[in-house]
Amino acid sequence: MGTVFDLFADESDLGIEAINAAFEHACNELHELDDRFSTYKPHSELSRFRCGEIDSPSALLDEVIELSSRACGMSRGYFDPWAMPGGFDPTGLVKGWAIDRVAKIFRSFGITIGAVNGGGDIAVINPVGQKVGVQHPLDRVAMCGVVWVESAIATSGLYERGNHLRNPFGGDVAAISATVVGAELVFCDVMATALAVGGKEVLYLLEQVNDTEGFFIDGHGSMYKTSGMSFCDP
Amino acid sequence: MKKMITLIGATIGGFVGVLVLHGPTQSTTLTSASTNKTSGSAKPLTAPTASPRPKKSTVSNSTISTPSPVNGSAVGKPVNYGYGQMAVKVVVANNKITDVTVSSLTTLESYSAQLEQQVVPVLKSEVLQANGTHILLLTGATYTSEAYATSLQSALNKLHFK
Repeated sequence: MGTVFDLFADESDLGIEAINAAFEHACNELHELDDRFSTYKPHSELSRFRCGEIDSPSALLDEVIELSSRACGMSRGYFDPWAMPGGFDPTGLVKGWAIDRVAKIFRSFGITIGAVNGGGDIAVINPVGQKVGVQHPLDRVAMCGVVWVESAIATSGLYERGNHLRNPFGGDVAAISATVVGAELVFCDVMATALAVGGKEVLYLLEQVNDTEGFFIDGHGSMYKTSGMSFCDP
Repeated sequence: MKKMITLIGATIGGFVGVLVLHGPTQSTTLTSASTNKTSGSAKPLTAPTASPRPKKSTVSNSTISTPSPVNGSAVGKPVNYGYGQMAVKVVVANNKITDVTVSSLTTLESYSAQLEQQVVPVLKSEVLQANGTHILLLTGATYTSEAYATSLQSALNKLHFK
């Protein structure tokens, strides 16, 4: 997945040993998923699948294919792993999905207050939710807003890795930063990517999805948001 | 929210490998735990800085303890990451990594110029200062791990943190 993961857990919640065990489990899971889904590793299951060497995908790969199909439909093709150069590439979805899985591991170990931050995409574990700052796309020590997050938030943008996003319909990428808040990180992640690529058109799609809100900042610095998107004080 | 235990969990692409090999002593729980695994199972470590010196487990590190505990903070050297440079700051308290942040990040002039063409100077979106707030979590665009790991290692080296 090529990025850095931060794991958080409230130490008053559980003993340090239980937290360590959960963290160790989480790291193992992340390494296993990376080994399986890295497109940079030629022998990963995904790489071999892309080369047509896999006839019967594992249950995990099956799940990723199924989620990719749902995500493609949900974003009306703005997120389309089948339209990537080099063949099927669900990389834009795997990280969010992996973070969801780590959050599940945390809960299974009894962590009730914590967070998993994978390169800026965050799953929050907290019965009442938690504040999350959204990095400003033009000033990395500043924020462009603070959001109350009950479950998941993802941001996609052009400002850290350059122009790695691509519009499957051939036009320009609409936003320099796009953020989506919702229940499952896997879909927040995907829709944030779609929102960055598709801008207003994807915002209209998000408007129709319950419990999922979002906003984007375009190249002119204007912010566009869904009607239910709200910010809180820092 | 109460005090959080912050640990750099895993990073794909070798960051964990780096921490493992030169990394934390016994109390830096997660990382050392997973790192033991990594080296034990002889998984290939992708970070170029990691491969040259395979070490035993971090547990043995802690038993052969250094005379005085490492304390302080250091900023690693700026490392190219493809679109510019980043430098990582690390804080170590009593032989334990307590915080790791990206302290500076610059984009290449060519890329900045490219961005500037897209961006009108005045943002209508708000600019809030993160300093002094109680915000623990920040969502933002993904950066890559390789430059992060390299700069982090150089920051740890400055502290003589083995």
